[in-house]
Amino acid sequence: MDRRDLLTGNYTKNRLDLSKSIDSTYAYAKLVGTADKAMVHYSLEGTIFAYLPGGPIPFIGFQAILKGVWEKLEQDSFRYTLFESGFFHSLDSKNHIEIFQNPITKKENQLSYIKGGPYESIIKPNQLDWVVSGDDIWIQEPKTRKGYFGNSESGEQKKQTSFANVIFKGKLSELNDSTTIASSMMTYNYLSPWYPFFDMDDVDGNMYWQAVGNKIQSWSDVPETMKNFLNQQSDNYFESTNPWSETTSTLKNYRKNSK
Amino acid sequence: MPIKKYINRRELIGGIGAIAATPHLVSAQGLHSIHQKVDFNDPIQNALAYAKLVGTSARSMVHIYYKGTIFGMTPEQGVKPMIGHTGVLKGVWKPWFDNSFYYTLYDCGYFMDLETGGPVEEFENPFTGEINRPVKIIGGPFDRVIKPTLRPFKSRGDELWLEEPAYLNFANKLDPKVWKKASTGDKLSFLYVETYHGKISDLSNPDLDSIPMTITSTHNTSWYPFFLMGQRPGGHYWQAVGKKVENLVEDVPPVLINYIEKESPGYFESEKPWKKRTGTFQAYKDQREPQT
Repeated sequence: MDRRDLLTGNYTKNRLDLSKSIDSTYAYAKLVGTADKAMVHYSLEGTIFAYLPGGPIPFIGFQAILKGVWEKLEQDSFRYTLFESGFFHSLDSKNHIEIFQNPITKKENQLSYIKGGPYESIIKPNQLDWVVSGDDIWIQEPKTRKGYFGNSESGEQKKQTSFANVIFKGKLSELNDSTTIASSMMTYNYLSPWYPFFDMDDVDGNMYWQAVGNKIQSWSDVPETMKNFLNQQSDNYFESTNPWSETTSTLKNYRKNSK
Repeated sequence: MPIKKYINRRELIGGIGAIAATPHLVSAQGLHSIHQKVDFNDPIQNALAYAKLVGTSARSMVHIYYKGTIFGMTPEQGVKPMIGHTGVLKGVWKPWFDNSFYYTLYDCGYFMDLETGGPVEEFENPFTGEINRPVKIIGGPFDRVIKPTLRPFKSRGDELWLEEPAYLNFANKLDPKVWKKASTGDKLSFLYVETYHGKISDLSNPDLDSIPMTITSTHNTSWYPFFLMGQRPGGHYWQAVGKKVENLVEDVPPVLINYIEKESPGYFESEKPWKKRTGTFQAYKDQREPQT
């Protein structure tokens, strides 16, 4: 029995064999979300860098709360629904801003919110590409997407590529204990074309979003600036398992609100 | 007291292992340990926290194992994984003047087959279809002084992390007129973001000079020379995750230990595994001929 089990009153189940699809998927659910029917939140803090032909510069900050609503299905599968809510802030303050003095164009930008979901996924037993080093364990999830990043979803624009890589890190000993949730640190990287509310169509380059955060246990772990933002949104985001039903994204939300 | 230049494997494993063993003991017997709150707004404590998290506040060596993937990105072909990379960073640390710390960094490892995890001498570039031959991963010695200043540590509960971005723009050692396929241009631009993650409870334990740490490393860079991408638009996204080595045998895969011991005998034990500074671009220039 390990220390965590002593504290939680749980007894250690058999060690996971990550070469087995069922164990691998169970470990994924437990690290990234939960192996039970429950909600999981990550609190992220990050910086967007402008990658210009002359080199990169820090551009603007952002905070986000990611929500995952998880449930275990039959045949060792899991279903989860993701939401995201967040805001931009200047580099020298963590407070939510709606007007941004763009340091590259020297123009004033009217910003949008970070908003996404619901995105539903089902994960079935599968071999996953874990890296284990002593008691540390991590996994990365790179994803490429082609889409429209301008003010509209089609028209004259060409589809452009974005790339996201998300890394989850945790402890093997926690994955092996008999609780259904493990602590997790998340690193989020996202390379994208300029988002339209920065009004950078005439500027060569792209955006690099870099954020770090962890799985949080309660509202008290949420940064004060984020609490203020969520309270202003009045959508009961943190408590609800379904804060909104129409699928949206930061881009879609911006386009809808700027019509 | 003279500097001890070499330590043996038993001391190395024992010394690093002690880092891991102590916090576990302290955690299990938390009532008996005296933890001191760290004031990150105090530049001196901030520098001490940095040294303990990233390296050590003692005169000692720290090794960091890492493993990751190098992706390529072009506007036309999108994003593709190109090759893996893995290695062990060595930091040789010592307390320095005026509450600073001084460390010398080395890097030794290999470019990795994404399927097998083993070293590769050549691979097919997924963008060009050509066979590329990577150089070896070898870097350093790079010296750095950690001075008292306010670094933006972030904490939540017992979790602590520090993001350390670096923006680099410098002249390319490889003249694009000469190195037509290996040089991406006159200037190179890199954006490095290293994130170090540890526990506040470990950091506030005065008995620990060095605390367990994991690192996430992301680099956005110009094309590296051995990919022979010429002046194609685009560049790399490097990603790696790693950790401060607590037990060499348990934390680092045998294939990597064996590779490093063959390529650089004494790397793990020595405080100065080599003298002449080197890096990937310099190594490429020294070892290869221009291709057209």
